[in-house]
Order: sequence, then structure tokens, then C-alpha cells
Amino acid sequence: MSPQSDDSLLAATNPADPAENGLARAAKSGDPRAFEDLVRLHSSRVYNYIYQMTRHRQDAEDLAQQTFLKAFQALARLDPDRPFIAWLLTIARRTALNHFRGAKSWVEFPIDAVSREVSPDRDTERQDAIENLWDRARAALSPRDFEVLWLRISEDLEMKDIAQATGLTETHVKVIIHRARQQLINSMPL
Amino acid sequence: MNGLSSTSRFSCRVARGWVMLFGSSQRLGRLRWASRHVEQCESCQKFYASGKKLDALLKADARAFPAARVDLAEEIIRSLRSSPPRARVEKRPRFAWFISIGAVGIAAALTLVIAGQKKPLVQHELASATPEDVHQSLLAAQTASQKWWASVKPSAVALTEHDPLNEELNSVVEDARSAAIFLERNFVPDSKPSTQDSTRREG
Repeated sequence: MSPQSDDSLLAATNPADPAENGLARAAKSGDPRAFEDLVRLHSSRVYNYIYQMTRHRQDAEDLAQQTFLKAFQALARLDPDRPFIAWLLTIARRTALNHFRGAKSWVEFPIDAVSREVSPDRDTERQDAIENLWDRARAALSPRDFEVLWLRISEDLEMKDIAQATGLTETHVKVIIHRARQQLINSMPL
Repeated sequence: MNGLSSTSRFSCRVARGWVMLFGSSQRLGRLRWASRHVEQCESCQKFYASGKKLDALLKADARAFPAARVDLAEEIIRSLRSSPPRARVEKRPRFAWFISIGAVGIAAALTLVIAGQKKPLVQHELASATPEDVHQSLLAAQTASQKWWASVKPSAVALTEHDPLNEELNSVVEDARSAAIFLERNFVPDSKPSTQDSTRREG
């Protein structure tokens, strides 16, 4: 087996998809249909990202909606040559952080408190929390490390895109991913 | 991994760290030791195999997470359609219109002042201009700023000299002085003996 960097451990990276780039360009030049297609493509990814951090369905939906509204208003600043999802998740992160203003990192709600007070489908959320590797990862890692790992593995973002989304340096992102992976390998029976 | 000595564990960590930071590129020359170590070390191979497995499991579990509501995308699109496009308006200062009008006024005044000056010669006129014309033109350009300053300076000097507060104080002092003189003349007895008294004493 040849030596691999952590970056190359992931089989598929996520280079900017040409079709998606075309949609992004069209949306930037004022085509609302193109932006709507982008919403259909990415709404669940944005929702999942925010839900992973907030653990709150309603907040995640509201924040996902706000994210797309902000993205629509900021289309002039979009670089269509970069992956659209990276730009979107950057906006999602800022939107959520503004929503939980004052919190240094993401606010995570205890699942029970959330279920009891807000969400009607308590059983579903409880079920979601059980036996998922990501929940174990959440327990083992700091919120920041968890977020970086999520962006890398679940969203397939490039290191530079993660760095831009989180405000960290690319080297720092690499170190976090390496350390997180090492920590999870040591703590989980694989 | 437990059977490894602490030295080899340390070298494994260092080698993995190098590979993580710089990749396993052959261009790295002296750093190829890290690549070689990772290739040959059983523990490192096991680590990377576990890493691959972990990533695959995490990816699969990420897909298994509860998806967003089916109609979330459509709801977002509806809200986008209902909000006017490019709704964000640059926030402007409260009296921006006043400032803009003022700026336009100043610009217009300056334009008038400059237009009132004798025009310097433009390039196509220079070809047919005599040395006298060029001299006149240069003088006009040089004196434009001096003339402008000369027109502004008297009012500036007047502004510094004209102090309403000082004038008010002066007038109050003047009134008080007049009142004191009036009182002194009419009600204060004269300390000098009058000429009539001195003639009576002599008589």
C-alpha cells in the first residue's frame, strides 16, 4: 500500500461540478430559475450541516431558509469557479453563528430538552441520536473539530474551502482532521 | 500497536504528521523518509486502513441522517419568489441626501470659479500659440488658486474678527459704565468744596 495523506484517504473529493458551475454562472447573471435549481440541489445539504451543529430541526430549517435568502442577495459576490456548496456553507455557518450570537461556537441543544420543549416528534429525534457514528464523534471531539470533520467527510469539501468556511488556515484544518481521525480510530472499535 | 516500542510509536506519529502536512509527494526529497516509513511500517499501514474504514462508515452514517422535509426546497423557493430580488439596500447615513446636495453645490461653485478663470491653452491650441500666449496661459493657471484664496481670505478674516459674544460683553460693560457715571453725577456728593463755599468763608 502506498503512503497516503489524510487528504487522499477520501476516495472522492468534490471538485467544482461543471454543470453546477453553469447554474451558478446563470444565477449570478440574474437567472432566477438557475438559482432555484441550486436550491433544490443543495437545500438538504445545507439543512444537514446546520442540523448537525444545532441538533434542532426547526432552527435548522429556518437557518437553511435564511442562508438561501442571503445567498440570493449576495450572488454578485459569488465566484462561479469555486464549488457552490462551499460558498453556501460559509454563509450557512455565519448565519447560524449570528443567530446564536454571543456563542463562541455552535450552540448544541441537549437532545432530550429539545424533544421535550419544542419538537413534536420526540421519538424520531431520539431514534436519530442512537447508534450513529457521528454522534459518537460528537461526543469524542470538540465542536470545532467535529464541524471540520463533518465538512471534510460528509460534504467532501476541499481543505481550502473548509479553511475559508471556518476561518481557519489550511494547515490548521489538515491538523484538525488528522487529529480527529486519529482520536476516533483510537476510541472506536473499527 | 500496543506491542510497539515508544520510540517507534513516536516515529510513526512524526512520519504520519509529515505525510499529512506535505503529502507523499516524491518532490519532497529529504522528506521521503516519511513516505518510506509509512510504506514499510505495519502499524502505519494499519492506521491508514482503519482511517479508510472510518471515513467510509462516517460517510454512510451521514447519509443515514434524517433528511430535510421534502418540501423544504420548495418552501425556500416560495419565500425567494415572494421577496423582491436584490432586496438588500445599502445602508446610507441618515442625512445622506443633505450631504450629497452640499457636495453637488460645492462642486458646482468650484466649477463656476474655475470656469470664470482665463482658460489655459489646450494641446491643439499650443501648436499655433505664440510664446506670449503660452506665458499668459501659465500665469492664468498659476494665479487661479491665488485668486480663489484671495476671494475667500477676507471673509475668513472677518469671521475670526467678528465675535458676537465679545460684542455682547462689550455692550454690557458699556451700559454698566454709563449707569455708574449717571449715578455718580446725580447722587454722589461732591468731595471737592464748591466755589460758593470758599467765597463765603473768605467774606
